[in-house]
Amino acid sequence: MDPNLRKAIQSAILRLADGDRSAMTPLVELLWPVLLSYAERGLRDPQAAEDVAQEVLFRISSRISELDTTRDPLSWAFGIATFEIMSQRKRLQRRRERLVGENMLDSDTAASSVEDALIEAEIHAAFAEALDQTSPDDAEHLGLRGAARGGPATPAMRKRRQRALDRLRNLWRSIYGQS
Amino acid sequence: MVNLETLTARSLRHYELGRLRMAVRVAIVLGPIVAICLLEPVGREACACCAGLLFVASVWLRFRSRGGVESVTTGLLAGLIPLAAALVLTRLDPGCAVAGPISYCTGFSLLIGGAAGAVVMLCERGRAPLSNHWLLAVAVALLTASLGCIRLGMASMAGVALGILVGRASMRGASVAP
Repeated sequence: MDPNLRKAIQSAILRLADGDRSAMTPLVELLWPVLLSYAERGLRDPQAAEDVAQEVLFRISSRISELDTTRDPLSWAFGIATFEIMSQRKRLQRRRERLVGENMLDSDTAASSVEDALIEAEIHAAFAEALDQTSPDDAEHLGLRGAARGGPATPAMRKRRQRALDRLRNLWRSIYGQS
Repeated sequence: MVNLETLTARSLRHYELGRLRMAVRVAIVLGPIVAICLLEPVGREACACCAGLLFVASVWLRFRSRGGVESVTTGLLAGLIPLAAALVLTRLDPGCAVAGPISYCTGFSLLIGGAAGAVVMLCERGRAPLSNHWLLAVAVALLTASLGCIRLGMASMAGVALGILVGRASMRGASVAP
């Protein structure tokens, strides 16, 4: 930084610390470009840099009355700027991590639901094919076709359903194998 | 693109708010002092009135400039001596409140005022010479002292005020003399 500019900024900060309000205009005029370029270098995002530089300027202004005048005012100001830039970078990094995490979670859920749906559709198709090959009587005994019969099941009906189920199982095995 | 005028105006607002926050922080020191003074059963109203005046004056001076901050610090430090002494005297001799202007109470006030004046001078010496800030420091010291002295009567108050001026002047004379 140009030594004259440095001296002018230091003088403006010290005047403000002493209570001279008229030093605010030169301070903003001199310090704003310096802060903006510092923030741009730190963040590599012009829009975010402008917001952070503004925040830094306001923070410096509000804390200037607490400045220890034995310290270098410019170092103090850059200390505030560095802290704000680092905070902003951390915030951005956390936001990015959260977004990546959410996207990964969404894609996992979507992938599992698509896989489940495919498996379910395959099972339905296989079952429909096996059912097509069963006799209409067996389908009726299993309650898959025709109107459901009311009243309690008799032992003969239970036996017929058992036999129909065994035949369907054998048919399934003959089509798709033991597994 | 940011408008520099708007930025300056907003920065100035933040600056004023920051100064006000810093100025009001004097309440942390004043609070306990005033609480102790208000515990005394005699002259609470006058003490509360002086405390209000001291708070407003301190905040205003601290808000205004750094010189004001230093004046308030010096004044509070110096004023604590007559304040504590007056509180002790009120306990030891309640008759001081009704004693005439020519009494040992006034003499005692003059003495403790002198000590406060010496403290003002000592604090001033350690800082950069800032025009007539010593007058503000003396005023704050007097207001601080009044928290305790007001219940001892106007004679004691006048004694402390005179003492502060004399004490400061004599310390100054001693430091200037070869």
